[in-house]
Amino acid sequence: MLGGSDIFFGGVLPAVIAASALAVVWRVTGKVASAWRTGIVLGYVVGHWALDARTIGVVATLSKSCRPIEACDWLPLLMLLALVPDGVTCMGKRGPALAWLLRTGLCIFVPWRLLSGSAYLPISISSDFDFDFGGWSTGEAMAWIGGIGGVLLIGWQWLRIVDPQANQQRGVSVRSALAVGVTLGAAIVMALSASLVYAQMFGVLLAVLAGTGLVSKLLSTGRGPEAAAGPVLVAFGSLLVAGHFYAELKIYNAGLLLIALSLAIGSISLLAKLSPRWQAIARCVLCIVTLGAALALAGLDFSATQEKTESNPYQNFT
Amino acid sequence: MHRLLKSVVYASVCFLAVCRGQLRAENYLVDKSHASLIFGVSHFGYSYTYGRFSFDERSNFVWDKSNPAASKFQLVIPVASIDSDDPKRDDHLRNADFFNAKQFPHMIFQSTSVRPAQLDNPEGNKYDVVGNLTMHGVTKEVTLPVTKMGEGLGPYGKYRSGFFCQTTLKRSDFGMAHMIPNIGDEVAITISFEGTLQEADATKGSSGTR
Repeated sequence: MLGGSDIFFGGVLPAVIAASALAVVWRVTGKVASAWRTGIVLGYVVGHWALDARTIGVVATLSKSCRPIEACDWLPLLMLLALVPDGVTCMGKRGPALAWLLRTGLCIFVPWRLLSGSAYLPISISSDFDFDFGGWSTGEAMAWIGGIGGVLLIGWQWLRIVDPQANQQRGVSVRSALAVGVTLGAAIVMALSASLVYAQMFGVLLAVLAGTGLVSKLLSTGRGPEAAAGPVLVAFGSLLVAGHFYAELKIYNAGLLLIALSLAIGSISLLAKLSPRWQAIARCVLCIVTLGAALALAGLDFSATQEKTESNPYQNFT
Repeated sequence: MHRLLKSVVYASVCFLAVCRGQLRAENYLVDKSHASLIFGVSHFGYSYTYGRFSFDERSNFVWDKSNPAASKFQLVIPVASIDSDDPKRDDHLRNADFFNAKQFPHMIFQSTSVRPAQLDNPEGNKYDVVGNLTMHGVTKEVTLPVTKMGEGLGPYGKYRSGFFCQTTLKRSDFGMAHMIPNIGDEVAITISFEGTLQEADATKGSSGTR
C-alpha cells in the first residue's frame, strides 16, 4: 500500500525540510537546541500538510489547518506549541519556572485537545442536538487527562535531561539511530493496531528524526534528538494517545513504546558509571528489548484478530 | 340559549382546530426495525462493496401532508452500527482511517427545508429535502431526493409513514480521504425508513413540532 507518493510526501520531503532547517538555523544562530527544535517541527508540519494536500488539495489542507476537525489535524498546532516551553527556559531567572509551567499546561492540553468532542469527552454538536452521547464522567475525565498529562510530563523531563557524557559523538549517533528505530517500530505497531493513517504519521516523524540526525552528525553539532525533547515527545505522545483512543493500540503497547523512546533518547542514570562504549551498548539493548516486546505483543494481538472465529452455518450441509 | 350557542361555537372551534391539527404536522419517531442506510463503494474499481448502518432511536420526523414545506427530518445514525458482513473490516471502518467512530460517534442529518421535486414527479410524492449532514465532524448542506412511500395502520395498530431516498456523496467532502482512489470516493447511499405516529398526535392531533 506504500506508494511512491507516500514515500516522497511523507518521507523524503519532511526529511529534507527538517535537515535543511536544522542546518540553516545552526549556521545562522549557532544555537543547537533551537536548530534541532526548528528542524523537527518544520519538517513534521510540512510532511503532515504534504500528505493531506496530496489527497485533498492545498486549499482544503490550509482550511483544515485553520479549522481542525479530527484529532490528528491538531498535531501541527501542538507541535508549534511544543516549541515554546523549552524556548523560554533561557529567559532570565524566571525562565525555567515558566518553562515548567508551560510544559505542565501543554501536557494537560494535549490529551484534552485530542479527546475533546469525541465519544469520551463529548460536546453537543448544536443546540438542536443536545444528545447525551455517553462518555466519561467528570472524575473519569480528570483521571484520564491528568494521568496522560502526568505521563507525558515525566516523559518530557526524562527526554530532555542530558547525560554528563552526552556530548560524545558516539552517544549522539546512537541516540539518533535508536530514536529513528523506535519510531519505525511505533509505525509498525500502529499499522498492526489497525491504523495506517497514524502509522503514516509516525513515518513522517521517523523521516524528520532521520534527516535531522544525519545532518546533525555531518555538521558535528554535538547534540541528539534530546535537544528537541518537547516537539518529539508531543508528536510521539499525541500519536500514541490518538492510536489508543481512536484506533486499537493497546495501552501496554503505548506504554512500552513511550519507554522505548525514553530509553533511546533520555538519560539513563543506572548506566552513568559505565564507559561511553558500554553505555551505548546497554542503551541499545534496553531499548531494543522494550521495542521488541511492543512489536511482539502487537504481532500477537494482530494474529489473534486474524484468526477466523466465525461459525460456518453450512458446514453440516456439505 | 345564548350560553348554548356559545358552547356550540366553542366546541366547533375546538373540533376544527383538532381536525386542522391532524391535517397539519404529525410527529413520528423512526422505527429502528424498519429503517436502514445502505452504502456501496467501489473496491479498486473491481466491484462494489456494500454495508449498512442502523438508525438511532432518537431519529424522528415531522410530516405535514397539507404543507410539506413545514415538514422536518432529524435522522441520527450511530457510526458504530456499521455492518459490511466482515467484522474485521467493520473494525477498520470504525477506526481513525475511516469513520473514526470514537471521535465522531454519530452521523446526523437535520433538514432545513422540504420542497416538492420539480422534475420527474408525476405522482407528486417526491421531495427535495435540503439539510445539514454532519459526518466525520464536517457539516455540509446536502439535498436528499426523498420519495414518500406510503402510510397507514401497521399490524399492531400504530399509524406509520415511510420514506425512501437514493443519492451519492463524496466521502472526501467530509474529510474522509484515506485510501482514495483504491476505495472509491463516491459512495452510493440508499436510505429507507418508516416512523410511527406519536401517541399525542394519534389521539389529540397536535400541530406542534418537536
